[in-house]
Amino acid sequence: MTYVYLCEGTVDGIFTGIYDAWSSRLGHKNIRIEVEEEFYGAELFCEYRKVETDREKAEKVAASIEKKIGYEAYKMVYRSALSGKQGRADDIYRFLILGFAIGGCVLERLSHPYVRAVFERNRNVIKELQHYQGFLRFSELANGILFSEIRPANDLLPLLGEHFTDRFSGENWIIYEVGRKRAALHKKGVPFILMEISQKEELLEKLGIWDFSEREEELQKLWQGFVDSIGIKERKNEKQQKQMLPLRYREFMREYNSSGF
Amino acid sequence: MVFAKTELDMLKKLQILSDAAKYDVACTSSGINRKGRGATIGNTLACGICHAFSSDGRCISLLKILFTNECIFDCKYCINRRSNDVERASFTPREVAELTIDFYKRNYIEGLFLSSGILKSPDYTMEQLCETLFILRNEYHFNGYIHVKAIPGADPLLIQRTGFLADRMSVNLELPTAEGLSRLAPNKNRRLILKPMRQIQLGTEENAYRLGGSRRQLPVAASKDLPAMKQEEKLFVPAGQSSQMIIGATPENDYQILKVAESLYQKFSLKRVFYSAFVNTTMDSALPVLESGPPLLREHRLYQADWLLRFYGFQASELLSEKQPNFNVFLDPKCNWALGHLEKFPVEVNQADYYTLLRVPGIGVNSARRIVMARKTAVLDFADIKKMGVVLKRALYFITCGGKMLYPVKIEEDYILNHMLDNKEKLPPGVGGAGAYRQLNLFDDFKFDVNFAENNACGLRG
Ligand code: SF4
Repeated sequence: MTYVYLCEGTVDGIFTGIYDAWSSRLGHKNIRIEVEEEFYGAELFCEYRKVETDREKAEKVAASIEKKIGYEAYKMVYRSALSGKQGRADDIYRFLILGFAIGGCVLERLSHPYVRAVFERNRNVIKELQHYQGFLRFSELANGILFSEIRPANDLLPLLGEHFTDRFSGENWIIYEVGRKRAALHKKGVPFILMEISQKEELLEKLGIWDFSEREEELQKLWQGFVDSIGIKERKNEKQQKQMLPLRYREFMREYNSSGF
Repeated sequence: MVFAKTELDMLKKLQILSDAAKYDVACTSSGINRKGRGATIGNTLACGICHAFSSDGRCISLLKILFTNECIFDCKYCINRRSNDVERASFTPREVAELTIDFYKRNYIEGLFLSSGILKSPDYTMEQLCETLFILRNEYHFNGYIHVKAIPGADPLLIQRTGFLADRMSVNLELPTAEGLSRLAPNKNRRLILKPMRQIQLGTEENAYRLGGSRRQLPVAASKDLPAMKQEEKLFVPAGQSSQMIIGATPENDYQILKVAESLYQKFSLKRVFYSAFVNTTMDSALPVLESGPPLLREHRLYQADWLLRFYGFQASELLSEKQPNFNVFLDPKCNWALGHLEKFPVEVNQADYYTLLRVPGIGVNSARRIVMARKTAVLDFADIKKMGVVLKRALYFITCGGKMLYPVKIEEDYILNHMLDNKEKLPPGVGGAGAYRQLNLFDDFKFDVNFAENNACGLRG
């Protein structure tokens, strides 16, 4: 018999799942943790248990990771929990079983499959995050709010929120995640918040704003002009350009699909 | 009021002055971490961020523009030389500052890279650059990245003021030798270029005092023309200085060029030296006509070698010599070196020290570090080190794992060379063939190697 813990796809949800699974004492090899959105119907010989997300339990898990395996490992686990590829909850669980057993040196066991899985997720999230830190575009709405849309494979919103809070602490900005239907909202001088929003239109309606600012179109033209003229003709290399800036990032970059304005 | 000439609109100006700046290759951002602060806009990340890629495949990270191309000098290789007939334009300091902020807020850029032709005089030009930075830092409270050129021949005081507002400064060496410089850039001379370089070096060395408890104030005489600056808390060019050389406009060989780079690193503490394959835009009779386009493969080899100098503990004289003054077209500099030093191989992966591992073709900074870490707990086999990123098909001639080589191979130069040439080196698209080229500064394979894993904290603080 396998016991499957079904948890919410958030970091808190996954950590709660780990807490419950751990304290069940059913034996690690009899347990699997899955996030709800990856669940496609029950399998035979499995007992399913629904996990109620519990902030306190999640914080306990976070604290023990930091204490027993270290901060570096915690960051890695945290990022893996944001990874968009199937199976993240269970990968993290396996990694933690090993980590709690042997401590901080788990990070050196690069060839162990449990460790490698988390390393790869972590690396993939970082890579995509670095891309979005660069390729995300804000447009200025008529009331001065900076507005952006993204569609990342991993759940980058919390990480991007942090990045832009540091960078644009004095601005009002919104990042809308089209795929997961969530937005990060930042008001000048206060920490950002995450909000479920089913559509961009709903968001704009809430703000009561539909137009871009007067300068916006001009600025986009200036930027487009800059990007066009900075390329060296003698070195033209679109293949390279595509490799470095894959098309999937360009959906909301107006300089590469100027029809959008 | 009558205007002598009609104002160019901003778009036109931007096109002219970014077009004029595009041959400058030193466009990596950052190298320093600086957190955002309340009431300011911006931060910087040491790893740098690419915000777009231009049609030639190069990373766009900074708003890279000339302040002016109304240049009074006449450098033969330069498209903006006085005697060339091109459209001219100049920004005002405020225009550049506003544009930077507007672009930055939209997350188009990491910051500003401001270069310039010589408008009126070196002093006047430097003043304009300084004023631009002053507006950005003190009026707009811009806390992002700024790289600015120091104009050779400008008053050291101006350079000093600018240095306290900039993150990085650079003085272009332009050409590898003084002789080449005087032939192609009659208005410039080597001494005037090295002087601000030295000044910036000394200035950055004093940052230690500025940071330390015993903060020592530098005596800066006040000049009435420029706004006074608060000096406390400010650092001088905290991201250090870089420089750039044009490759292939003058007859220097690779060995001379690499030697020059090495001494810039050692004697002037430069952070980066950039190599720019010469693009003939002026067709001056003093310049070589390059039938097969800019010497991109050569530039690529120089960047590879430069990397070996900075991160792999190599010296220029190990890689090249008077007798063999140019890089092998077919082999990267590290392979080339290894083939010339077969007596040092094979090395045992489980025992060789870090620097010895680094010298093995197919092992990079990252994989070497992983090996050193992983072998503490286990005896490593070929399968293990492959997972750590070692390129076995290159490394296999030079290493043993547990005393055994991967295959029974001859350690003999011709044999290895033939096999290496069989499995082709992955060159950036365009290099070594027709077509274009790829920016190596930010994303060459080496750099990826260094950047990942160790530096993954970058951008993910807290
Ligand atoms: S100083 Fe020389 S290299 Fe610089 S813009 Fe003027 S002519 Fe060109």
